[in-house]
Amino acid sequence: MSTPAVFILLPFLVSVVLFFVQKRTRLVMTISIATCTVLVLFAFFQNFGEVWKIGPISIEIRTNLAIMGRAFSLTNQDKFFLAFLYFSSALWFGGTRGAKVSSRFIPIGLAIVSILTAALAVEPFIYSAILVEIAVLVSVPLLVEPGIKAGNGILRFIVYQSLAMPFILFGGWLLGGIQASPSDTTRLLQSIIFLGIGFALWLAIVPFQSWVPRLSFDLKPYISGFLLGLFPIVTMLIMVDFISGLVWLRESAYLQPSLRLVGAIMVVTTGIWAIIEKDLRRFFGYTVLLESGLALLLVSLQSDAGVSVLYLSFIPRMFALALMALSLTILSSENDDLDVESISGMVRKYPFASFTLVFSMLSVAGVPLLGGFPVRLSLLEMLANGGHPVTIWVLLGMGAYLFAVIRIFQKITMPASAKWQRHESNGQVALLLIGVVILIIFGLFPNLLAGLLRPLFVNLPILR
Amino acid sequence: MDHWINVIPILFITAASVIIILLDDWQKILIGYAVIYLSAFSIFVQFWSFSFSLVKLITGLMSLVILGLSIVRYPGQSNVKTKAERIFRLITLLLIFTVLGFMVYRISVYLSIPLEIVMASLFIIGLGFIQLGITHELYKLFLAILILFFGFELIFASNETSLLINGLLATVTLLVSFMGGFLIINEQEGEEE
Repeated sequence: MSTPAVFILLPFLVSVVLFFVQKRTRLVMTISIATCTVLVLFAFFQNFGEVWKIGPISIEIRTNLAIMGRAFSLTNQDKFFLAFLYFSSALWFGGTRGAKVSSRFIPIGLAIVSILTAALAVEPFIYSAILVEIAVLVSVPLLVEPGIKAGNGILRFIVYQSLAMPFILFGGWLLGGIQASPSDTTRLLQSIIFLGIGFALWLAIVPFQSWVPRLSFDLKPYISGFLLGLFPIVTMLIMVDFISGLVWLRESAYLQPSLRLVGAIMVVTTGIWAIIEKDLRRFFGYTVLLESGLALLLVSLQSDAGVSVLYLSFIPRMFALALMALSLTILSSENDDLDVESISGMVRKYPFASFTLVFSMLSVAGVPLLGGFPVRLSLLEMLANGGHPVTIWVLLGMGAYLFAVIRIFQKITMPASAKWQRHESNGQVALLLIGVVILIIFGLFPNLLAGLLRPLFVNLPILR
Repeated sequence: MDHWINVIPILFITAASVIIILLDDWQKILIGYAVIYLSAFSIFVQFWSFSFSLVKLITGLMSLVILGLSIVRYPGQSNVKTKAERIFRLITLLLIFTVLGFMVYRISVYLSIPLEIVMASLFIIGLGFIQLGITHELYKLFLAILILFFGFELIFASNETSLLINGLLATVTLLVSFMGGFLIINEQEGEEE
């Protein structure tokens, strides 16, 4: 048995089976959560490359799987990614009944997760571009509702993500040629330009970010939350792996300033756009962009601490985005229009969803005692210790985002003529409360999360 | 050029690009794309193995058929172009082809790929980018993605012979057309209701 078979083929086969029984929603949800949980436990407790003993039976867990001349490899270094990916999938699948999404969400979602796992496992890394493109295309049925025209954001998502594939493949191919003559600086620069454009398209980095708010506007919040929660993180990890694998790139004098500049631009511009944004779905898109900008800044630090904080930051990020998406889904059940004006006084009808929405946004803004605070504090501390003037700009961007959140809070709690009456179902309330409690626990006890995940933080990518 | 006879398929590609960019009829546009696939095939079959070339051709034609079947079920109203729009499109295409034409030789030497393959590839990529940039119709957008990938594959496959990678690229091509077809049918069913 090999780890790629367990983490790629098994969930993919399960997703195919679930696709044919998708109408039995409770069964589909149970099987998908059980599959993800088993995979998380396997990633957490089993050492890859060793023998797995179940009573008298011993199974060797190999880390490689060769398919038609190419290898898929999942080693102990990928444990965090695997545990995180399948844990967050279980989280998203668990909320499907509360969010009342399409029955094909879980089968297609599980297929996307397994393909993205394959994208991280394939060697050499450049072929992950093809697998990410396949994952994007597989996600298309999730993007549209029956009989509804695909919006501009959906088409942009497909086009931008599709354009990334040729750029990354071509850049990687040029890079392959350099291994033979490392002194060819012209070719080196060209390959980096192609790869840079490819990663920028994948990660929605400035100036290719316009599709994110448009996509979140076109989709149901829960679907956009799942896709925008998953794709940027996976592609970010592919990028980190890529940087880690090339010593000359890590040592390049241009890497740190360019990543820092792009990250800071993303944080500042997103903060400003968030202030003037009137639609909460678009606001969700800006939240994703803000998170991507902050993650880029963590990568730009090129330190072990930076990488650890980057990996840790994915967990509160995923929780906050999931809670935000669920709250928006619940709020949109009253009125499809999620304009700031139309949510005025909504707290009286949807108190739990309203407060959870604000809580999750505050967590992203890095407000103390919430999950996002420890990672934001660490980032700002590391930037300030390095004497980087960019710290001020990052603070400005985060401040602008916080201001936008306060504006939403003010609107949503505005006195209205309606009486206090809860419209959320008990299941929805339970999901929201569990999420908020977890976010608070992450904020109050940041070392608890770090301690829990320490066994998974072996052989993290080196960016120095 | 290794064989001067390859000027003919390149001229066919140029002519098909002009037809694609100027006409409104989806059937003629699809025929234009098929001509591009066949012309490109007639070039790369001289440099690659026959079976490998055939896979690329069949995948491309199959993807056109899949998209065509989706359009034929629900033929929508296509936007009729004005004369000024046609002139603008033609000039844009010719300008881009001219610029690409000047770049072909250097790229061919730089990448060590036969000139005719690079020329066909760049013209196809140029067409794909123009279409992606100016089209509003769903089927044209997916055709643009398909042809862009095909143009890129012409260069990439000259050096990448892995079975898995070429299989995955074929999967991507077919998935693009399947998803394009899915979106077209989904949109038209909504309009019917």
